[in-house]
Amino acid sequence: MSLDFTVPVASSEERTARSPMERLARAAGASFERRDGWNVAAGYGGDASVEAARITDTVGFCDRSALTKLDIQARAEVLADLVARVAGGLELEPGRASRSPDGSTWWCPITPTRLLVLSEPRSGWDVHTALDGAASAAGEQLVTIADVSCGLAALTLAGPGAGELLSRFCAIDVRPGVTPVAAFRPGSVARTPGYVLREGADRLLILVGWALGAYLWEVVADAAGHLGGGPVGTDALAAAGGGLSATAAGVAEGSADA
Amino acid sequence: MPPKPGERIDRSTSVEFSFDGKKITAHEGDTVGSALYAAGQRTFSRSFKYHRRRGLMCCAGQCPNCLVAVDGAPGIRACTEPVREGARVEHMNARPSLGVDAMAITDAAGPFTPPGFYYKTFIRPRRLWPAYEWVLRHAAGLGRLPREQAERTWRTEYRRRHADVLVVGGGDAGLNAAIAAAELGADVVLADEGAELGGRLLWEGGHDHARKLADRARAAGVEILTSAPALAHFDGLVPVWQGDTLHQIRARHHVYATGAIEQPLVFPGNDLPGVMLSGGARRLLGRYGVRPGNRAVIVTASDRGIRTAIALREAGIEVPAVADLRAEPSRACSRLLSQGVAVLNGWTVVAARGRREVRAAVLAPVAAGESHGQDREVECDLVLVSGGDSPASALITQAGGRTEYDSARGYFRIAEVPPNVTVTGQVAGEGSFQTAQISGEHAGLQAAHALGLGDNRSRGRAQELRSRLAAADRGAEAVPPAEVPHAAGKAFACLCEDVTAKDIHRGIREGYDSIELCKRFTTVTMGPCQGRMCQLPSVRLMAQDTGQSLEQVGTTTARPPWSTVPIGALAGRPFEPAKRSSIHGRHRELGATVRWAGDWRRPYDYGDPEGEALAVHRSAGLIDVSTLGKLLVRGPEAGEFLDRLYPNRHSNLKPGRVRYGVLTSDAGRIMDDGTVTRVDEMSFYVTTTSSGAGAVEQWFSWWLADWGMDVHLADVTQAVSAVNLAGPRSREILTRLTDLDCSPEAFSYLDARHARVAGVPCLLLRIGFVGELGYEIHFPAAYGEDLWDAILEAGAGEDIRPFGLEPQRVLRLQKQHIIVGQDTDSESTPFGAAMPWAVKLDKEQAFIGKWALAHAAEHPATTALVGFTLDNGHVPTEGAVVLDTLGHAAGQVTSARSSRQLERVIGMAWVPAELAQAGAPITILDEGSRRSASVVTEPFHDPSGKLLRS
Repeated sequence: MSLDFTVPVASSEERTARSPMERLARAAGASFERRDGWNVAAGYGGDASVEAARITDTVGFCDRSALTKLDIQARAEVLADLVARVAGGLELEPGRASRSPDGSTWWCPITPTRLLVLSEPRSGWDVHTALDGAASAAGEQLVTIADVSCGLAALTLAGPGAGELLSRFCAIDVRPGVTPVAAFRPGSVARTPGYVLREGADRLLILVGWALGAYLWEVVADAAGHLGGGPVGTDALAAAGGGLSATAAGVAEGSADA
Repeated sequence: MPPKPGERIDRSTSVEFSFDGKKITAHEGDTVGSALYAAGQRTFSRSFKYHRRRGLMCCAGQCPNCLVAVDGAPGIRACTEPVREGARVEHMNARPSLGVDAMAITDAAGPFTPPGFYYKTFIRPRRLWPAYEWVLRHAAGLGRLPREQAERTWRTEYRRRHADVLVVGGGDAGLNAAIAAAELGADVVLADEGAELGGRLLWEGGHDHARKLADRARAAGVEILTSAPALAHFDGLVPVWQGDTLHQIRARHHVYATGAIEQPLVFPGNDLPGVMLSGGARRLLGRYGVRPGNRAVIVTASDRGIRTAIALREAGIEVPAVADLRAEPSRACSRLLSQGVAVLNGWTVVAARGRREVRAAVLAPVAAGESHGQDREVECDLVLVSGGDSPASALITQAGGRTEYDSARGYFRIAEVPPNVTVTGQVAGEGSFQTAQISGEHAGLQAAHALGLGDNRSRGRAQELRSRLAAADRGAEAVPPAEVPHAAGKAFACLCEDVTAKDIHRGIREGYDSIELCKRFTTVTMGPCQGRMCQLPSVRLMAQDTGQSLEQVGTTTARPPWSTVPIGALAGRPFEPAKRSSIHGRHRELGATVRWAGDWRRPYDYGDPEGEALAVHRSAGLIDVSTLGKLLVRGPEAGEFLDRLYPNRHSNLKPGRVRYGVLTSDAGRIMDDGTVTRVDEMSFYVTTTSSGAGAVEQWFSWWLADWGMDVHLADVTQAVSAVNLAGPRSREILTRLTDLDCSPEAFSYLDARHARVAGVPCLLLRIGFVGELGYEIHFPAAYGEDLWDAILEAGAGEDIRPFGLEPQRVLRLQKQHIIVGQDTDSESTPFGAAMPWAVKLDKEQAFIGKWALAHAAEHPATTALVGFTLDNGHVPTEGAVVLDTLGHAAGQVTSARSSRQLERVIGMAWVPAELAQAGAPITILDEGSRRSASVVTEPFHDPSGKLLRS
């Protein structure tokens, strides 16, 4: 693959993929585990109930930059065919993401000819491989699959205050009637271009440029603190349910805290 | 006062705060204003210009009379600010004290300080301006802000709220509107500037009703914002300020129930402490149990004043006289008359007497705006005025509504509103309790129906309410005279800016005879009340003076903000999107000086820029170049696409090879530069300058859309990090980290290779901006720190050093590599910039800028970009002027540095074309001094490129 210098898959166990928010998460008390090649903030401190309470009572935010993100370009009918082959007949509608039947992947149309695919790192490689295969089957038709996993930082807001928290730095209308579950909205997030995906009733996934990941964390942490919320680890998020099916984020491969 | 039902204070509690150092005891629910008044304070502030005593007037946050500083924050209205334990309240705009204000001398100097005197006075002699400025700056303004940022601990933020219906105003009408819309399923937000919902219901006996309505609204799901004034209406966006939060509310329908503002009367002494609006006295009495005075004279143009007189008498306050501007007694007067109160119909107030506070009111009959000279002086300690109501229409006109003068009522009424706006209650002329309720409910139903909500039943109800409104009796008001002319003393039209009736007359005489010009000349309506108290009086004065009708005079444009708001609330949180590379944290740990570079934060140096540059020459250096723009251009026509964009060829580039490219505009001017790498038959990897990344991506996208070529474009600027490993030892270092054959034969200059470096998938480019053997290593951003660490570790034995932007700039200058935007400007072509080799006019493919470049090739530029060197050690300023042989300015220095490697000063400059020859002498005029320099037309360092290609 000629574009493999964009794909965060290291051949060495010594190399760990790191989120742009890692240092800030560490400063906030995160404990890290290496999962699927990524250093993941699994939790914050010893008391998991604190994080769980944030998700059920106020609002928590969780770094999900490790998600696999694929930017696919093709003509509209080719794109639809590609998705049909890989995800089994999902319909692509503007402004609305579709979750694959196995719950592992979000298919987010950006334009009729452009699609953002999101999945947990564990299943991301399989999705990428399947898409490569489907693209080959497209024959002469041009299909470009760019791995932008490191191009977009991601943060989930979870809890009843997720919409309220988002409103502190983003003007996208996330009232359930306007932005129902699976709605996918491009827009200005904290004064920078981004996307918002409503993953669940109380769960919003924000995507911004990777280099702005730390900035986004600072903005969200500041606003969340004011609303009684705080950071939560991927374990607490997975326990709350509602995300991608591989949200448990794989099996620990050992601590990468050092 | 004894306890009364509906009062806001909790008499079982006690709160202590200080006013100018004096301890004040209040109750929970009190405002600073009510507590101070109860404690006997009558002077609350000094006026803006004349430093006259001012006391409570409206008790509703409308007027400027009670502005104080609370805990260091200036401009707080005491009458609406809740008391807080331990709060430090201080007066403003008076020195040395509120009681003795040295600047009160300006009151006596009034005749010499008419409006505009400062425009005319403080201009000559010009040399005295610094002194004038000092005086004016110290005299102007109200209050002081903390000087240091650290002292400003107030947190502000924005909150965006989308809603179906926004109701502004939480009185009877607004509450009924909100309930009606919410009960039909609308998502409703209600914003009210008061601390408690209910409006005048709260102090006019309807408090229980108000509380029930508020409870019903909450139960219906209405989001209620109290102490939250709406500031403006901007194309559907209504900012609402509430404490530390600025709600930016976008609603599909707006209901304005903003009420009406009780108007003052213009008469000499109308600003004395003790002259209040009748509503102000009723708020003190009904909400806070404070006796506003002992003996009150009431002057009114409507039943509002009559009701106040009745309420005062019930509270045991003596009312010796009521002057009613209406010629005939209204039905409401009969109760007063039966109690033996002297109600003088067709009378008004012509003066208030007193020095520190009011001690008497002078009443006189009035007819057609003229006094008949039968004055009657009545002793009192309170003069309550009610000059009629003026609809609070500012937000509605900002929304696109229109007002027109209603001569029967004496105010500008709402004549037209845009389709998504409904007005209700007093602002719509439905001021009675009965009609406010009906009109509110009707407005709510109307809003919900406009959004497609409701059913036949709700439509039937709306019809019924319309019928009841049509049949309602709306009472009568009188139109007050503009001014009572014969009494001596200042009669204020504008309390905020100390503009008197005479000032308005003077303005008109000076030619400012429209209300908008008058506003600008006198500053009437431009103060903290935003025209609430002075718009109508000033319009009346202008009409009287010019002989125009009030309709002809019109009103000033209602501009935002409608309510005073701290600038900090408008600013919100200090969001400053800062791009940081994936190695940023490590740079910080290594002691980097981080500076802004475009929208990125970049290491400028690591404390020793000269040493860092030397390391690149002598061993190896490592710089983070992740900020470069990076684009993937892919497709069967990708090569042709690039050929059309660049003036040189790229379609013939072989996979695994890199080529420099300068991007030109249609006019042949340099836009950007960078490299183009062919990674496979279909795919090109394009780098751009850091600051040009966004513009180039847009440029490519725009042309791709226009040409419709079978090409895909993906911006991977942030997805891919990059470092430049450079220096004579870089090959050895790299070899330790990869299986790739890095020998010069296998991996030569301008080659590109895929390889794992320290286990990380990378694209390596053998290029060298800094002029030494070098490798630009591109890789997934998530491995930034790991790869950086691995390279530094592998190079530790070779004395590798990280280097920042500053040493990079010195190194590239030694090679005369340009920085687009610094060494070029919007007129620079590749020919002028000594890069004719970057343009292939013989290329078969038409490309952007070809025509202009062909023209430029035939007509050489008059200036050329060259290198230069100085021997005297002086580093000229970037931007210093290059003189031609006649001593005229003919170019400028674009870059200059002292090079420790070369031990001389080097630079680049645009010089006259005839001087663009090696060794030609040039003169640089820098900060007044002329410096001799010599032109150098080839790189200062490694001119043959031997090191680069090694």
